[in-house]
Amino acid sequence: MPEHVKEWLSAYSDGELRGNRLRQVENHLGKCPECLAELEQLQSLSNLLHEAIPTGDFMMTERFVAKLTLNLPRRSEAPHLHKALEIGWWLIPFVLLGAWTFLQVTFALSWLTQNVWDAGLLGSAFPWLQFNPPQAEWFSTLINLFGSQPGFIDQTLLQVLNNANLVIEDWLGSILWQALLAVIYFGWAASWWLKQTNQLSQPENIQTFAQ
Amino acid sequence: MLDIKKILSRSWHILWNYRMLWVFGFILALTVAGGSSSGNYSSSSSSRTNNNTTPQYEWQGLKGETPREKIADGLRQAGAGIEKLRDQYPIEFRMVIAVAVTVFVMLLIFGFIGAILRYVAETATIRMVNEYEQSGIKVGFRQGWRYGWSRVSWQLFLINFVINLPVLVLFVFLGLIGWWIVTAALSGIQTSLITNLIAGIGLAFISILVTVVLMVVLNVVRDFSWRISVLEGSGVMETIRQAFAMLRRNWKSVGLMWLVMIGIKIAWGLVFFLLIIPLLIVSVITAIGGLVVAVVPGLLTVGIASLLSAPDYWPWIFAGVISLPLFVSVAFSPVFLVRGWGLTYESSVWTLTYREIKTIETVAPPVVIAAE
Repeated sequence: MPEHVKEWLSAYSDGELRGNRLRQVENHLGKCPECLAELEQLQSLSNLLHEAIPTGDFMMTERFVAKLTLNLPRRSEAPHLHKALEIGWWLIPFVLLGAWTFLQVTFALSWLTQNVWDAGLLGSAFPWLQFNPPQAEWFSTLINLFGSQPGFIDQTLLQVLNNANLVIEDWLGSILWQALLAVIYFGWAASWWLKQTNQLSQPENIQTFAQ
Repeated sequence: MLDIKKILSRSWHILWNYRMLWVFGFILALTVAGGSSSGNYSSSSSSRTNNNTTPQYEWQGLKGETPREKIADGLRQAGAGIEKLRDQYPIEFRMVIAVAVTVFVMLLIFGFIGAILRYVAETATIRMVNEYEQSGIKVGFRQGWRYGWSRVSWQLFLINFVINLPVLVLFVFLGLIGWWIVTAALSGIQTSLITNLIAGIGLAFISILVTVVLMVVLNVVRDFSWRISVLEGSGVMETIRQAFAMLRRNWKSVGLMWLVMIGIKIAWGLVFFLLIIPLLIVSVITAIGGLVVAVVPGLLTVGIASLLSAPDYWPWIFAGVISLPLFVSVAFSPVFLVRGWGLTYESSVWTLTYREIKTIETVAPPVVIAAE
Protein backbone atom coordinates (compact mmCIF):
# COMPACT_ATOMS: atom_id res chain seq x y z
CA MET A 1 0.00 0.00 0.00
CA PRO A 2 1.35 3.38 -0.86
CA GLU A 3 1.97 5.90 1.91
CA HIS A 4 -0.95 7.53 3.70
CA VAL A 5 -2.18 10.89 2.54
CA LYS A 6 -3.09 12.38 5.92
CA GLU A 7 -1.20 15.65 5.34
CA TRP A 8 -3.41 16.35 2.29
CA LEU A 9 -6.72 15.49 3.90
CA SER A 10 -7.40 18.97 5.23
CA ALA A 11 -6.80 20.55 1.82
CA TYR A 12 -8.89 17.83 0.17
CA SER A 13 -11.71 18.46 2.58
CA ASP A 14 -11.64 22.20 1.74
CA GLY A 15 -11.61 21.45 -2.02
CA GLU A 16 -8.19 22.97 -2.50
CA LEU A 17 -6.50 20.03 -4.33
CA ARG A 18 -6.14 19.86 -8.09
CA GLY A 19 -4.75 17.56 -10.80
CA ASN A 20 -2.49 14.59 -9.94
CA ARG A 21 -2.53 15.29 -6.23
CA LEU A 22 -6.36 15.19 -6.17
CA ARG A 23 -6.41 11.91 -8.12
CA GLN A 24 -3.73 10.43 -5.85
CA VAL A 25 -5.72 11.27 -2.67
CA GLU A 26 -9.01 9.99 -4.15
CA ASN A 27 -7.40 6.69 -5.22
CA HIS A 28 -5.83 6.27 -1.79
CA LEU A 29 -9.08 7.00 0.06
CA GLY A 30 -10.80 4.25 -1.99
CA LYS A 31 -8.30 1.73 -0.64
CA CYS A 32 -7.36 3.01 2.84
CA PRO A 33 -10.05 2.87 5.60
CA GLU A 34 -7.69 4.58 8.08
CA CYS A 35 -7.36 7.71 5.97
CA LEU A 36 -11.07 7.62 5.13
CA ALA A 37 -11.92 7.60 8.86
CA GLU A 38 -9.64 10.55 9.45
CA LEU A 39 -11.32 12.46 6.60
CA GLU A 40 -14.75 11.78 8.11
CA GLN A 41 -13.51 13.11 11.45
CA LEU A 42 -12.23 16.26 9.82
CA GLN A 43 -15.50 16.85 7.99
CA SER A 44 -17.61 16.35 11.09
CA LEU A 45 -15.42 18.85 13.01
CA SER A 46 -15.81 21.34 10.21
CA ASN A 47 -19.60 20.93 10.25
CA LEU A 48 -19.63 21.42 13.99
CA LEU A 49 -17.72 24.73 13.70
CA HIS A 50 -20.05 26.02 11.01
CA GLU A 51 -23.14 25.21 13.08
CA ALA A 52 -21.78 26.87 16.23
CA ILE A 53 -23.45 30.25 17.17
CA PRO A 54 -20.93 33.12 17.50
CA THR A 55 -20.61 34.43 21.04
CA GLY A 56 -21.20 38.10 21.96
CA ASP A 57 -17.45 38.88 22.10
CA PHE A 58 -16.79 37.85 18.54
CA MET A 59 -16.76 40.62 15.92
CA MET A 60 -16.64 40.33 12.16
CA THR A 61 -13.73 42.14 10.45
CA GLU A 62 -16.04 44.49 8.55
CA ARG A 63 -17.85 45.48 11.75
CA PHE A 64 -14.59 46.03 13.56
CA VAL A 65 -13.33 48.39 10.83
CA ALA A 66 -16.64 50.26 10.77
CA LYS A 67 -16.60 50.68 14.54
CA LEU A 68 -12.98 51.86 14.48
CA THR A 69 -13.77 54.38 11.77
CA LEU A 70 -16.65 55.72 13.83
CA ASN A 71 -14.32 56.22 16.78
CA LEU A 72 -11.66 58.04 14.80
CA PRO A 73 -11.48 61.82 15.42
CA ARG A 74 -13.16 63.48 12.49
CA ARG A 75 -13.04 66.97 11.14
CA SER A 76 -16.40 68.60 11.06
CA GLU A 77 -17.58 69.80 7.68
CA ALA A 78 -16.31 73.38 7.43
CA PRO A 79 -18.87 75.93 6.33
CA HIS A 80 -18.12 78.03 3.23
CA LEU A 81 -17.31 81.14 5.24
CA HIS A 82 -14.80 79.25 7.33
CA LYS A 83 -13.15 77.87 4.18
CA ALA A 84 -12.99 81.31 2.60
CA LEU A 85 -11.43 82.73 5.75
CA GLU A 86 -8.85 79.97 5.77
CA ILE A 87 -7.92 80.61 2.13
CA GLY A 88 -7.71 84.33 2.89
CA TRP A 89 -5.49 83.59 5.85
CA TRP A 90 -3.04 81.65 3.68
CA LEU A 91 -3.10 84.35 1.03
CA ILE A 92 -1.85 87.04 3.44
CA PRO A 93 1.90 86.27 3.17
CA PHE A 94 1.70 85.87 -0.60
CA VAL A 95 -0.16 89.17 -0.95
CA LEU A 96 2.46 90.88 1.21
CA LEU A 97 5.34 89.44 -0.81
CA GLY A 98 3.52 90.26 -4.03
CA ALA A 99 2.98 93.84 -2.85
CA TRP A 100 6.65 94.16 -1.94
CA THR A 101 7.74 92.86 -5.36
CA PHE A 102 5.21 95.05 -7.16
CA LEU A 103 6.35 98.20 -5.36
CA GLN A 104 10.04 97.41 -5.82
CA VAL A 105 9.60 96.88 -9.56
CA THR A 106 7.49 100.02 -9.83
CA PHE A 107 10.03 102.15 -7.97
CA ALA A 108 12.94 100.68 -9.94
CA LEU A 109 11.26 101.46 -13.24
CA SER A 110 10.17 104.94 -12.19
CA TRP A 111 13.70 105.64 -10.93
CA LEU A 112 15.07 104.53 -14.30
CA THR A 113 12.55 106.59 -16.25
CA GLN A 114 13.23 109.63 -14.11
CA ASN A 115 16.97 109.38 -14.69
CA VAL A 116 16.46 108.94 -18.42
CA TRP A 117 14.25 112.03 -18.36
CA ASP A 118 16.78 113.95 -16.27
CA ALA A 119 19.47 113.12 -18.79
CA GLY A 120 17.30 114.74 -21.44
CA LEU A 121 17.05 111.54 -23.46
CA LEU A 122 13.30 111.90 -23.75
CA GLY A 123 13.54 115.38 -25.21
CA SER A 124 10.27 117.23 -24.86
CA ALA A 125 8.21 114.12 -25.47
CA PHE A 126 6.62 114.16 -22.03
CA PRO A 127 5.86 117.76 -21.12
CA TRP A 128 3.72 116.63 -18.19
CA LEU A 129 6.81 115.06 -16.60
CA GLN A 130 8.29 118.51 -16.01
CA PHE A 131 7.40 118.79 -12.35
CA ASN A 132 8.77 121.36 -9.95
CA PRO A 133 11.97 120.48 -8.14
CA PRO A 134 11.34 118.92 -4.72
CA GLN A 135 11.93 121.09 -1.69
CA ALA A 136 11.79 120.51 2.03
CA GLU A 137 9.21 122.57 3.95
CA TRP A 138 11.83 124.54 5.89
CA PHE A 139 13.72 125.28 2.64
CA SER A 140 10.64 126.75 0.97
CA THR A 141 9.89 128.81 4.10
CA LEU A 142 13.44 130.21 4.24
CA ILE A 143 13.41 131.05 0.55
CA ASN A 144 10.09 132.84 1.01
CA LEU A 145 11.37 134.71 4.05
CA PHE A 146 14.75 135.84 2.72
CA GLY A 147 13.88 136.27 -0.93
CA SER A 148 14.64 134.04 -3.87
CA GLN A 149 18.25 135.16 -4.36
CA PRO A 150 20.34 134.82 -1.18
CA GLY A 151 24.15 134.98 -1.27
CA PHE A 152 26.13 132.26 -3.07
CA ILE A 153 27.40 130.53 0.09
CA ASP A 154 24.03 130.66 1.78
CA GLN A 155 22.36 129.30 -1.29
CA THR A 156 24.86 126.44 -1.69
CA LEU A 157 24.64 125.56 2.00
CA LEU A 158 20.86 125.60 1.96
CA GLN A 159 20.80 123.53 -1.22
CA VAL A 160 23.10 120.92 0.37
CA LEU A 161 20.99 120.79 3.52
CA ASN A 162 17.80 120.60 1.48
CA ASN A 163 19.21 117.75 -0.62
CA ALA A 164 20.42 115.90 2.49
CA ASN A 165 17.01 116.31 4.04
CA LEU A 166 15.31 114.97 0.91
CA VAL A 167 17.64 111.97 0.63
CA ILE A 168 17.10 111.03 4.31
CA GLU A 169 13.36 111.54 3.89
CA ASP A 170 13.36 109.24 0.87
CA TRP A 171 15.47 106.64 2.59
CA LEU A 172 13.26 106.66 5.66
CA GLY A 173 10.19 106.48 3.46
CA SER A 174 11.43 103.44 1.61
CA ILE A 175 12.51 101.79 4.88
CA LEU A 176 9.18 102.54 6.54
CA TRP A 177 6.89 100.90 4.03
CA GLN A 178 9.10 97.83 3.92
CA ALA A 179 9.18 97.72 7.72
CA LEU A 180 5.39 97.94 7.76
CA LEU A 181 5.11 94.97 5.40
CA ALA A 182 7.67 93.09 7.51
CA VAL A 183 5.71 93.75 10.71
CA ILE A 184 2.48 92.43 9.13
CA TYR A 185 4.40 89.40 7.86
CA PHE A 186 5.81 88.72 11.32
CA GLY A 187 2.35 89.10 12.81
CA TRP A 188 1.03 86.48 10.42
CA ALA A 189 3.99 84.15 11.07
CA ALA A 190 3.66 84.51 14.84
CA SER A 191 -0.07 83.74 14.81
CA TRP A 192 0.53 80.73 12.55
CA TRP A 193 3.19 79.51 14.93
CA LEU A 194 0.90 79.89 17.95
CA LYS A 195 -1.94 78.15 16.12
CA GLN A 196 0.38 75.32 15.23
CA THR A 197 1.66 74.95 18.78
CA ASN A 198 -1.88 75.02 20.20
CA GLN A 199 -3.09 72.38 17.77
CA LEU A 200 -0.26 70.05 18.71
CA SER A 201 -0.77 70.52 22.44
CA GLN A 202 -4.59 70.09 22.37
CA PRO A 203 -5.22 67.03 24.61
CA GLU A 204 -8.44 66.03 22.81
CA ASN A 205 -6.53 65.55 19.57
CA ILE A 206 -4.57 62.78 21.21
CA GLN A 207 -7.23 61.39 23.56
CA THR A 208 -10.08 60.98 21.08
CA PHE A 209 -8.22 58.30 19.21
CA ALA A 210 -7.12 56.56 22.37
CA GLN A 211 -10.78 56.10 23.41
CA MET B 1 3.44 67.19 7.18
CA LEU B 2 6.85 68.55 8.01
CA ASP B 3 7.78 69.30 11.58
CA ILE B 4 9.11 72.78 10.81
CA LYS B 5 9.87 73.63 14.43
CA LYS B 6 12.02 70.53 14.78
CA ILE B 7 13.92 71.29 11.54
CA LEU B 8 14.61 74.88 12.57
CA SER B 9 15.81 73.99 16.05
CA ARG B 10 17.88 71.09 14.74
CA SER B 11 19.58 73.38 12.18
CA TRP B 12 20.29 75.85 14.94
CA HIS B 13 21.84 73.06 17.00
CA ILE B 14 23.98 71.94 14.03
CA LEU B 15 25.15 75.51 13.38
CA TRP B 16 26.43 75.99 16.94
CA ASN B 17 27.78 72.51 17.49
CA TYR B 18 29.57 71.92 14.21
CA ARG B 19 32.15 74.70 14.07
CA MET B 20 33.87 73.40 10.94
CA LEU B 21 30.74 74.41 9.03
CA TRP B 22 31.58 78.02 9.89
CA VAL B 23 34.68 77.82 7.71
CA PHE B 24 32.63 76.77 4.70
CA GLY B 25 29.99 79.33 5.64
CA PHE B 26 32.73 81.96 5.61
CA ILE B 27 33.75 80.86 2.11
CA LEU B 28 30.09 81.03 1.05
CA ALA B 29 29.75 84.54 2.48
CA LEU B 30 32.86 85.62 0.57
CA THR B 31 31.69 84.21 -2.72
CA VAL B 32 27.88 84.34 -2.77
CA ALA B 33 26.49 87.63 -3.99
CA GLY B 34 24.01 89.27 -1.61
CA GLY B 35 20.71 87.89 -2.80
CA SER B 36 18.30 89.37 -0.32
CA SER B 37 19.23 92.99 -0.80
CA SER B 38 16.53 95.13 -2.24
CA GLY B 39 17.21 98.04 -4.49
CA ASN B 40 16.55 101.09 -2.42
CA TYR B 41 14.81 103.02 -5.13
CA SER B 42 13.22 106.21 -4.08
CA SER B 43 9.47 106.12 -3.77
CA SER B 44 9.24 109.76 -4.68
CA SER B 45 11.04 112.02 -7.05
CA SER B 46 12.89 113.85 -4.34
CA SER B 47 16.09 111.82 -4.58
CA ARG B 48 17.15 114.04 -7.41
CA THR B 49 19.46 116.78 -6.34
CA ASN B 50 17.97 120.19 -6.37
CA ASN B 51 20.69 121.54 -8.62
CA ASN B 52 19.54 119.42 -11.49
CA THR B 53 16.20 121.07 -11.82
CA THR B 54 15.85 121.40 -15.55
CA PRO B 55 16.41 118.52 -17.92
CA GLN B 56 19.13 119.02 -20.50
CA TYR B 57 16.90 118.81 -23.56
CA GLU B 58 19.35 120.41 -25.90
CA TRP B 59 22.39 118.22 -25.16
CA GLN B 60 24.38 121.41 -24.98
CA GLY B 61 27.57 121.64 -27.02
CA LEU B 62 26.56 118.89 -29.45
CA LYS B 63 25.97 119.70 -33.08
CA GLY B 64 23.14 118.27 -35.10
CA GLU B 65 19.41 118.49 -35.52
CA THR B 66 18.27 115.01 -34.55
CA PRO B 67 19.34 112.91 -31.53
CA ARG B 68 21.17 110.57 -33.94
CA GLU B 69 23.35 113.41 -35.22
CA LYS B 70 23.95 114.65 -31.69
CA ILE B 71 25.09 111.19 -30.55
CA ALA B 72 27.42 110.95 -33.56
CA ASP B 73 28.82 114.37 -32.71
CA GLY B 74 29.20 113.36 -29.07
CA LEU B 75 31.16 110.23 -30.06
CA ARG B 76 33.36 112.29 -32.38
CA GLN B 77 34.04 114.82 -29.64
CA ALA B 78 34.83 112.03 -27.15
CA GLY B 79 37.30 110.50 -29.64
CA ALA B 80 38.97 113.85 -30.14
CA GLY B 81 39.16 114.38 -26.39
CA ILE B 82 40.82 110.99 -25.90
CA GLU B 83 43.36 111.80 -28.64
CA LYS B 84 44.12 115.09 -26.94
CA LEU B 85 44.58 113.43 -23.57
CA ARG B 86 46.96 110.85 -25.08
CA ASP B 87 49.08 113.60 -26.58
CA GLN B 88 49.13 115.71 -23.41
CA TYR B 89 49.70 112.93 -20.84
CA PRO B 90 51.18 109.95 -22.71
CA ILE B 91 52.51 108.10 -19.64
CA GLU B 92 49.39 108.57 -17.51
CA PHE B 93 47.22 107.52 -20.45
CA ARG B 94 49.21 104.30 -20.87
CA MET B 95 49.14 103.59 -17.15
CA VAL B 96 45.38 104.13 -16.81
CA ILE B 97 44.82 101.60 -19.58
CA ALA B 98 47.22 99.16 -17.86
CA VAL B 99 45.41 99.60 -14.53
CA ALA B 100 42.02 99.06 -16.25
CA VAL B 101 43.33 95.85 -17.84
CA THR B 102 44.75 94.71 -14.50
CA VAL B 103 41.42 95.36 -12.76
CA PHE B 104 39.60 93.42 -15.48
CA VAL B 105 42.00 90.47 -15.25
CA MET B 106 41.79 90.51 -11.45
CA LEU B 107 38.00 90.50 -11.61
CA LEU B 108 38.14 87.52 -13.98
CA ILE B 109 40.60 85.61 -11.80
CA PHE B 110 38.76 86.31 -8.55
CA GLY B 111 35.42 85.58 -10.20
CA PHE B 112 36.70 82.22 -11.39
CA ILE B 113 38.29 81.29 -8.05
CA GLY B 114 35.21 82.56 -6.21
CA ALA B 115 32.90 80.39 -8.33
CA ILE B 116 35.01 77.29 -7.65
CA LEU B 117 35.17 78.00 -3.92
CA ARG B 118 31.45 78.69 -3.75
CA TYR B 119 30.33 75.39 -5.24
CA VAL B 120 32.93 73.41 -3.30
CA ALA B 121 31.65 75.03 -0.10
CA GLU B 122 28.00 74.41 -1.04
CA THR B 123 28.69 70.73 -1.73
CA ALA B 124 30.77 70.32 1.41
CA THR B 125 28.13 71.97 3.61
CA ILE B 126 25.32 69.77 2.27
CA ARG B 127 27.36 66.58 2.69
CA MET B 128 28.67 67.50 6.13
CA VAL B 129 25.21 68.33 7.47
CA ASN B 130 23.77 65.15 5.96
CA GLU B 131 26.51 62.98 7.42
CA TYR B 132 26.25 64.61 10.82
CA GLU B 133 22.51 64.03 10.81
CA GLN B 134 22.88 60.45 9.62
CA SER B 135 25.71 59.23 11.81
CA GLY B 136 26.61 62.06 14.16
CA ILE B 137 30.13 62.25 12.69
CA LYS B 138 31.85 65.62 12.51
CA VAL B 139 34.63 65.89 9.96
CA GLY B 140 37.61 68.22 9.80
CA PHE B 141 38.43 70.80 7.16
CA ARG B 142 40.45 68.46 4.97
CA GLN B 143 37.68 65.84 4.81
CA GLY B 144 35.05 68.55 4.26
CA TRP B 145 37.09 70.00 1.43
CA ARG B 146 37.39 66.51 -0.06
CA TYR B 147 33.58 66.23 0.08
CA GLY B 148 33.29 69.46 -1.86
CA TRP B 149 36.15 68.96 -4.30
CA SER B 150 34.31 66.61 -6.63
CA ARG B 151 32.44 66.52 -9.90
CA VAL B 152 29.23 67.13 -7.98
CA SER B 153 30.23 70.75 -7.34
CA TRP B 154 30.49 71.22 -11.12
CA GLN B 155 26.98 69.78 -11.37
CA LEU B 156 25.81 72.29 -8.79
CA PHE B 157 27.16 75.06 -10.98
CA LEU B 158 25.35 73.63 -14.02
CA ILE B 159 22.08 73.28 -12.09
CA ASN B 160 22.38 76.89 -10.94
CA PHE B 161 23.08 77.97 -14.50
CA VAL B 162 20.05 76.13 -15.91
CA ILE B 163 17.80 77.43 -13.12
CA ASN B 164 18.96 81.02 -13.71
CA LEU B 165 18.39 80.94 -17.46
CA PRO B 166 15.12 82.92 -17.13
CA VAL B 167 17.12 85.80 -15.60
CA LEU B 168 19.44 85.73 -18.61
CA VAL B 169 16.42 85.75 -20.90
CA LEU B 170 15.00 88.68 -18.92
CA PHE B 171 18.17 90.72 -19.39
CA VAL B 172 18.20 90.01 -23.11
CA PHE B 173 14.54 90.99 -23.28
CA LEU B 174 15.12 94.20 -21.31
CA GLY B 175 18.06 94.99 -23.59
CA LEU B 176 15.80 94.56 -26.62
CA ILE B 177 13.17 96.81 -25.04
CA GLY B 178 15.87 99.41 -24.33
CA TRP B 179 17.09 99.19 -27.90
CA TRP B 180 13.52 99.56 -29.14
CA ILE B 181 13.10 102.78 -27.13
CA VAL B 182 16.52 104.12 -28.16
CA THR B 183 15.78 103.57 -31.86
CA ALA B 184 12.52 105.46 -31.40
CA ALA B 185 14.42 108.29 -29.68
CA LEU B 186 17.01 108.33 -32.46
CA SER B 187 14.34 108.50 -35.14
CA GLY B 188 13.35 111.89 -33.74
CA ILE B 189 9.62 111.14 -34.10
CA GLN B 190 8.00 112.08 -30.83
CA THR B 191 4.81 110.04 -31.21
CA SER B 192 6.90 106.95 -31.89
CA LEU B 193 9.02 107.64 -28.80
CA ILE B 194 5.97 108.09 -26.59
CA THR B 195 4.35 104.87 -27.84
CA ASN B 196 7.53 102.83 -27.54
CA LEU B 197 8.35 104.20 -24.12
CA ILE B 198 4.94 103.49 -22.62
CA ALA B 199 4.73 100.03 -24.21
CA GLY B 200 8.36 99.32 -23.29
CA ILE B 201 7.86 100.23 -19.64
CA GLY B 202 4.71 98.10 -19.52
CA LEU B 203 6.49 95.13 -21.08
CA ALA B 204 9.49 95.55 -18.81
CA PHE B 205 7.20 95.72 -15.78
CA ILE B 206 5.32 92.56 -16.67
CA SER B 207 8.44 90.62 -17.65
CA ILE B 208 10.27 91.56 -14.43
CA LEU B 209 7.27 90.60 -12.27
CA VAL B 210 6.82 87.27 -14.07
CA THR B 211 10.54 86.50 -13.78
CA VAL B 212 10.57 87.33 -10.06
CA VAL B 213 7.66 84.97 -9.39
CA LEU B 214 9.22 82.28 -11.58
CA MET B 215 12.59 82.63 -9.87
CA VAL B 216 11.01 82.26 -6.44
CA VAL B 217 9.79 78.80 -7.45
CA LEU B 218 12.93 77.93 -9.39
CA ASN B 219 15.21 78.84 -6.48
CA VAL B 220 13.40 76.32 -4.28
CA VAL B 221 13.74 73.77 -7.10
CA ARG B 222 17.46 74.61 -7.24
CA ASP B 223 17.87 74.02 -3.50
CA PHE B 224 16.26 70.60 -3.80
CA SER B 225 18.15 69.79 -7.01
CA TRP B 226 21.44 70.53 -5.29
CA ARG B 227 20.61 68.17 -2.48
CA ILE B 228 19.44 65.42 -4.81
CA SER B 229 22.61 65.87 -6.85
CA VAL B 230 24.94 65.81 -3.82
CA LEU B 231 23.21 63.08 -1.83
CA GLU B 232 21.77 60.86 -4.56
CA GLY B 233 24.16 61.51 -7.43
CA SER B 234 21.92 61.96 -10.48
CA GLY B 235 22.59 63.92 -13.68
CA VAL B 236 21.74 67.62 -14.03
CA MET B 237 18.44 67.45 -15.93
CA GLU B 238 17.34 64.30 -14.14
CA THR B 239 18.04 66.01 -10.81
CA ILE B 240 15.99 69.05 -11.77
CA ARG B 241 13.15 66.80 -12.92
CA GLN B 242 13.22 64.87 -9.64
CA ALA B 243 13.28 68.12 -7.65
CA PHE B 244 10.26 69.42 -9.59
CA ALA B 245 8.38 66.18 -8.95
CA MET B 246 9.27 66.26 -5.26
CA LEU B 247 8.14 69.87 -5.02
CA ARG B 248 4.85 69.05 -6.76
CA ARG B 249 4.18 66.18 -4.38
CA ASN B 250 5.03 68.20 -1.27
CA TRP B 251 4.16 71.74 -2.32
CA LYS B 252 2.26 72.47 0.89
CA SER B 253 5.10 71.51 3.19
CA VAL B 254 7.79 73.13 1.06
CA GLY B 255 5.71 76.28 0.58
CA LEU B 256 5.21 76.58 4.31
CA MET B 257 8.91 76.10 4.95
CA TRP B 258 9.67 78.73 2.30
CA LEU B 259 7.33 81.22 3.99
CA VAL B 260 8.94 80.55 7.35
CA MET B 261 12.40 80.99 5.83
CA ILE B 262 11.35 84.33 4.33
CA GLY B 263 10.33 85.46 7.81
CA ILE B 264 13.62 84.24 9.26
CA LYS B 265 15.56 86.00 6.50
CA ILE B 266 13.79 89.30 7.23
CA ALA B 267 14.53 88.91 10.93
CA TRP B 268 18.13 87.97 10.18
CA GLY B 269 18.45 91.00 7.91
CA LEU B 270 17.35 93.25 10.79
CA VAL B 271 19.75 91.58 13.22
CA PHE B 272 22.57 91.86 10.69
CA PHE B 273 21.76 95.54 10.19
CA LEU B 274 22.03 96.11 13.95
CA LEU B 275 25.24 94.06 14.15
CA ILE B 276 26.99 95.81 11.30
CA ILE B 277 28.35 98.72 13.39
CA PRO B 278 29.93 96.54 16.13
CA LEU B 279 31.26 94.27 13.39
CA LEU B 280 32.86 97.18 11.60
CA ILE B 281 34.47 98.24 14.87
CA VAL B 282 35.95 94.75 15.23
CA SER B 283 37.03 94.99 11.59
CA VAL B 284 39.36 97.83 12.56
CA ILE B 285 41.40 95.27 14.52
CA THR B 286 41.25 92.60 11.82
CA ALA B 287 42.30 95.25 9.31
CA ILE B 288 45.80 94.94 10.81
CA GLY B 289 45.77 91.28 9.81
CA GLY B 290 44.50 92.34 6.40
CA LEU B 291 47.45 94.67 6.00
CA VAL B 292 49.86 91.90 6.99
CA VAL B 293 48.31 89.53 4.45
CA ALA B 294 48.19 92.13 1.69
CA VAL B 295 51.64 93.58 2.21
CA VAL B 296 53.65 90.73 0.63
CA PRO B 297 51.75 90.49 -2.68
CA GLY B 298 51.53 94.29 -2.68
CA LEU B 299 55.28 94.77 -2.38
CA LEU B 300 55.89 92.05 -4.96
CA THR B 301 53.60 93.90 -7.35
CA VAL B 302 55.43 97.18 -6.67
CA GLY B 303 58.72 95.49 -7.51
CA ILE B 304 57.43 93.87 -10.70
CA ALA B 305 55.67 97.07 -11.86
CA SER B 306 58.85 99.09 -11.27
CA LEU B 307 60.84 96.54 -13.25
CA LEU B 308 58.30 96.90 -16.07
CA SER B 309 59.07 100.65 -16.02
CA ALA B 310 55.92 101.95 -14.37
CA PRO B 311 56.90 105.47 -13.27
CA ASP B 312 56.29 107.51 -10.08
CA TYR B 313 53.39 106.33 -7.90
CA TRP B 314 51.91 103.94 -10.47
CA PRO B 315 53.48 100.75 -9.03
CA TRP B 316 51.60 101.49 -5.79
CA ILE B 317 48.33 101.76 -7.67
CA PHE B 318 48.97 98.35 -9.24
CA ALA B 319 49.83 97.01 -5.79
CA GLY B 320 46.55 98.37 -4.46
CA VAL B 321 44.57 96.67 -7.22
CA ILE B 322 46.29 93.32 -6.61
CA SER B 323 46.23 93.29 -2.81
CA LEU B 324 42.87 94.98 -2.16
CA PRO B 325 40.78 91.75 -2.42
CA LEU B 326 43.09 90.01 0.07
CA PHE B 327 42.92 92.96 2.44
CA VAL B 328 39.11 93.13 2.23
CA SER B 329 38.75 89.36 2.82
CA VAL B 330 40.76 89.51 6.04
CA ALA B 331 39.79 92.97 7.27
CA PHE B 332 36.05 92.33 6.98
CA SER B 333 36.28 88.71 8.12
CA PRO B 334 33.98 89.33 11.14
CA VAL B 335 31.25 90.55 8.78
CA PHE B 336 31.79 87.57 6.48
CA LEU B 337 31.78 85.18 9.43
CA VAL B 338 28.41 86.42 10.68
CA ARG B 339 26.96 86.39 7.18
CA GLY B 340 28.33 82.86 6.81
CA TRP B 341 26.32 81.76 9.87
CA GLY B 342 23.17 82.86 8.12
CA LEU B 343 24.07 81.02 4.92
CA THR B 344 25.09 77.85 6.77
CA TYR B 345 21.87 77.88 8.74
CA GLU B 346 19.83 78.28 5.57
CA SER B 347 21.70 75.46 3.87
CA SER B 348 21.20 73.19 6.90
CA VAL B 349 17.47 73.95 7.00
CA TRP B 350 17.01 72.95 3.36
CA THR B 351 19.17 69.83 3.77
CA LEU B 352 17.11 68.71 6.76
CA THR B 353 13.88 69.57 4.94
CA TYR B 354 14.97 67.42 2.02
CA ARG B 355 15.89 64.55 4.37
CA GLU B 356 12.57 64.84 6.21
CA ILE B 357 10.53 64.85 3.02
CA LYS B 358 12.43 61.84 1.73
CA THR B 359 11.78 60.00 4.99
CA ILE B 360 8.08 60.85 4.88
CA GLU B 361 7.88 59.62 1.30
CA THR B 362 9.80 56.43 2.07
CA VAL B 363 7.92 55.47 5.22
CA ALA B 364 4.37 56.09 4.06
CA PRO B 365 1.95 56.40 6.97
CA PRO B 366 -0.43 53.43 7.44
CA VAL B 367 -3.79 53.93 5.72
CA VAL B 368 -6.97 52.82 7.46
CA ILE B 369 -9.46 51.51 4.92
CA ALA B 370 -12.89 52.72 5.88
CA ALA B 371 -15.83 50.35 5.83
CA GLU B 372 -18.17 50.54 2.87
